[in-house]
Amino acid sequence: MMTMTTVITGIAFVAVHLVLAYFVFRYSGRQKAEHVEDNPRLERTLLLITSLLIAIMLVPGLFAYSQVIAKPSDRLVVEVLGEQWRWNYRFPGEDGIFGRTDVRLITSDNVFGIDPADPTGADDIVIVGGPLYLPVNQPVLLQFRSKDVLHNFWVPEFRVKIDAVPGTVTESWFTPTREGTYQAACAEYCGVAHYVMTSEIHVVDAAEFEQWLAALPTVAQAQE
Amino acid sequence: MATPAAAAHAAHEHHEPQSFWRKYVFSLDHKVIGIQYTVTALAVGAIGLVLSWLMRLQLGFPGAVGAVNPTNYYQFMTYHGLIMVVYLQTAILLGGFGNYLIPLMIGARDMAYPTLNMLSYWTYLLSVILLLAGYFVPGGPSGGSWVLYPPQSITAGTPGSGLGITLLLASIAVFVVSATMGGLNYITTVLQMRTRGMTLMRMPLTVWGVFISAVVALLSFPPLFVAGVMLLFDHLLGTSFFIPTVNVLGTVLPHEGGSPLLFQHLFWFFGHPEVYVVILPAMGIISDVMATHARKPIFGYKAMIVSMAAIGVISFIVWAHHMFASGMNPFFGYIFAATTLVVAIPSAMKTYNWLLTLWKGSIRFTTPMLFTIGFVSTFVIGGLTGLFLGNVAVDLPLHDTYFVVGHFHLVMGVSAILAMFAGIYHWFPKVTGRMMNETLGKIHFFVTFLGAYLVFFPMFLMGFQGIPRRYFSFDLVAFAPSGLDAVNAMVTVAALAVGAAQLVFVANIVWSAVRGREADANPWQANTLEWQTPQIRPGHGNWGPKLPEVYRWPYDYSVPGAARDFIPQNEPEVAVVSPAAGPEPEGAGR
Amino acid sequence: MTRFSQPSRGSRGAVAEGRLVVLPGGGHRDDPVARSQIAVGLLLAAMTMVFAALVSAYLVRMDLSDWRAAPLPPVLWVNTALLVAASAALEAALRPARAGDTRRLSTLLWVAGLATAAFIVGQLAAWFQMRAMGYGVAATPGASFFYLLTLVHGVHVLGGLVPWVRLLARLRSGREPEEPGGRARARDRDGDDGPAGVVPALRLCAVYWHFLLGVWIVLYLLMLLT
Ligand code: HEM
Ligand SMILES: [Cu+2]
Ligand SMILES: [Cu+2]
Repeated sequence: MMTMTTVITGIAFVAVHLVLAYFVFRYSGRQKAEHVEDNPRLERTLLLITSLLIAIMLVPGLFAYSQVIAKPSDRLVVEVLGEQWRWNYRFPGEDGIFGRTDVRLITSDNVFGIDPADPTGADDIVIVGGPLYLPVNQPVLLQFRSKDVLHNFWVPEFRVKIDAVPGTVTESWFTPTREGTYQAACAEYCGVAHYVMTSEIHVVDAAEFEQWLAALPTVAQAQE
Repeated sequence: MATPAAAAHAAHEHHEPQSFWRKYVFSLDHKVIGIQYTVTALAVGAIGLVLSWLMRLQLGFPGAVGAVNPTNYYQFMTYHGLIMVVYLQTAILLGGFGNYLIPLMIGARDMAYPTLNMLSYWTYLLSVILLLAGYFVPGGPSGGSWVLYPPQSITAGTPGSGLGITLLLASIAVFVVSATMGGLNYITTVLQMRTRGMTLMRMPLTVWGVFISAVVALLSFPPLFVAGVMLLFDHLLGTSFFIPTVNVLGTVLPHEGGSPLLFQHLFWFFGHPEVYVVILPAMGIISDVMATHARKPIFGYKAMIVSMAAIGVISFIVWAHHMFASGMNPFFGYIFAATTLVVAIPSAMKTYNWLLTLWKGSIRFTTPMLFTIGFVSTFVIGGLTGLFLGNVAVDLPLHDTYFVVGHFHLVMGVSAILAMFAGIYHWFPKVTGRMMNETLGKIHFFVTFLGAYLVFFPMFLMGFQGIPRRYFSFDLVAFAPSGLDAVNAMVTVAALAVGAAQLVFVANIVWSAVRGREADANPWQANTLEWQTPQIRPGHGNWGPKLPEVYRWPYDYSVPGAARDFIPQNEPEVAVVSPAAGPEPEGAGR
Repeated sequence: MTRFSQPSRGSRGAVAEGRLVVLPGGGHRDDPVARSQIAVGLLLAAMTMVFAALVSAYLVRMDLSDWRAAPLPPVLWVNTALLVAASAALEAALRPARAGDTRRLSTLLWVAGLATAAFIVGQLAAWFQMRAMGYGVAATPGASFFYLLTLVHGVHVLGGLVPWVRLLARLRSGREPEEPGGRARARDRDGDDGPAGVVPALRLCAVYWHFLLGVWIVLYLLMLLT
């Protein structure tokens, strides 16, 4: 999509500028302008060509978009919490269920505001500030929350972007296909330290990921 | 009808009955008000420009200017953005050019409501004062970015989230009131005050541009007003329109359940049409200046009007393309991508028509013409890059990166500013009776135009790399390519050069106003009515005892068989001379 | 030397005896009445956008989970009646205005003005009632909207008192006050004197009131039903 748009608009840019330059030099300094009648046929032709080119970009664009928003079925769910000014992550633990949260319960020891009354929260795994490890070739569904203002989790290589909006949960998903170290930066202005809100992300093979996750303390363990 | 008019004229001819204050300060004359708007807007614009230097210095040479820190960087960014879009461009194109030109171009003596017009200016000035007052209150001005998204804009993590944001919102509300008074006036004037023979389809495109823009402004500013008032409620009275339960820097705020997205919808319902409010008058100015200096009728006059109207209408149904990544219902992505790409079609038609106007013309490389040609170029690149951002799947990786910064600066920042300069160079003789210096003008043009490309083109490449915008520094951005620092330094140098070129412009204005070559009555040999006034600098009431009458459209340039290559709109008939040049026809009563 | 006979583009001209003769019509239809009609129409369009934005904000906010409406103070019924009365009085004033009955006209104008003033006072009272019921501005989203909507609407109603005062003044002096700057304008004042002369302005005043009454009813129903 990006390539096609770049090619079409690039050609249009060059073409218009060539025509512009040619006209500007060809028709300068002449004694008198020639009389040119309006030409509705020419205008209609141009209208048609333009509409066509636009459609050529739009239609595949919409199809591509439908893929972007189609959720993967087999997926690893990770919760991402934006706060001024760092990224925190949460895995649901053994039971696969995230414990209930409430912004009012957030403290420096409980950055997600996990409700202690909810038993499903005890085995959750919380990573404050990162880094985040992800298994390669495994579709990942990120669920975003924010405790304060808008943020946006932006990893250029993953090509997805969605705001973390306080009060709601937003989602995006992708499948990392290459192992390596990546970085998430914040792409929604969130106050004076917006530019430092980065976090490291490691895409590793499944075994290494499991190992990393198993070594992390659960919420219950961390409290002891 | 002739009586009061003649009296006004006579009053002007003889001694000034008006006091200095009445004439230059609390004036009801649309020309004086237009100039007041222009001068005020340019003065605030200069502040906006200086702020952009400070930001660029930090980005190009981090730390070199020790006084720039994240707090004031974001304050500069907020004020720069708002000043440029609202207090400079909207004010100068509608309030400045609209006021000065509408009555002259349609053959009226003044606006429909001169008092309202004066009030509109003074309200605008008040909004500017409120805006600048932000710098003099504890906590400083708001650093909430020009879009002011809550909760960020009114919470503690953002500079100026106390009094600063209050003043800013108040200023915006006052500006909306001012623009509404102005808009009412421009529309009513165009509909009611046209002189005999000036049908709608004989109006210069500048008037059409301002007219459609005023309609769009009148209908799109109210939601901004509402958003501003609601945000003030949230900020001052603790309501929860836009703010859910949040914990900001360790404090749970007393809000509950509000929707940050609601603000974004209201803001962009204004924000997108706003860019067309700015660009439509610019398109009109470009069309008129181009036809005059290419000595050719504008190609596809009707198509030009239809596309401006189409742009005006469609501009109301594209707003959510700014919100593709906002977390709104993803289904909206389809709709708004489609409407957005459709709006490119009338814009493209206008571009073709400008090109076809140049085709076979007799182009005169005057300074206004150069700015006009520059406009076509920057408008094209800005428009084409808009196709990336409108197409939702393509937008997502580019959203909030430097690609966006490059895009909107070229399409509305630079383009509209180039049109503004084209207009100033073109109509300066009308206002002052003197020509601007061409050499200085050309230096101004080439540095500004080429500089703008050097500043903003690299930003597209930065955007492709994913470099996010609104970053005080890129030190921590691991994915920033190694060449980024060098590019940023180059961009800053170019930006400073562009800034210096504006000093040349100011010098040119001042020098020319005092010392410039005296202008002929119609120095560009233009057809439009404003050049056909009895004096080159029209007095109060614009026309002599009798209003001009209009016999033709404004683009009778190079009519075959006519003796001269232009026929002013108020010329009833034209003598045809044999091709082998004959005597000049008698001037039609000027 | 021949005459140029090709009618120009966009001209409604006709060619007679080889000369371009321009037919009258087009442009120049300045008419103070039509002019104010357009201006008021535009103003109402802008105001429609203000209230449309408010209503859509209300509807969006209403769908969120924490929505709690607020009870409405009973005095609003009285206020609504007052606004209806003001609107009706202005409408009724048109007749005596046309008939030249200055006394009846000014009576009705005063009725309209006082009813409007009473409406404003009533809205203020409604705020105090709300507060007394324990619903401050930030109590519930519904209460917040109540204050917001009544405030914005009330300010527009107050704004209407400006043309109302001007109407009264005009009736007093027997003719329209000279606008500063109006002197440079062509304007036909014939028949402007006396009550009949105020009919167009009165008409617009009435339209403005009807509009705000309509808006109020929409806002009130919205708050009542949700
Ligand atoms: C030489 C001229 C200009 C330069 C060097 C310049 C530079 C900049 C810079 C450095 C930023 C901040 C980018 C960031 O940190 O993300 C910015 C933002 C902005 N500029 Fe300009 N600018 C110029 C002219 C204009 C003009 C004419 C406009 C009018 C439309 C404009 C509108 C804006 C807006 C709306 C923003 C966004 C502010 C925000 O993010 O809240 N600029 N500009
Ligand atoms: Cu951020
Ligand atoms: Cu937009």
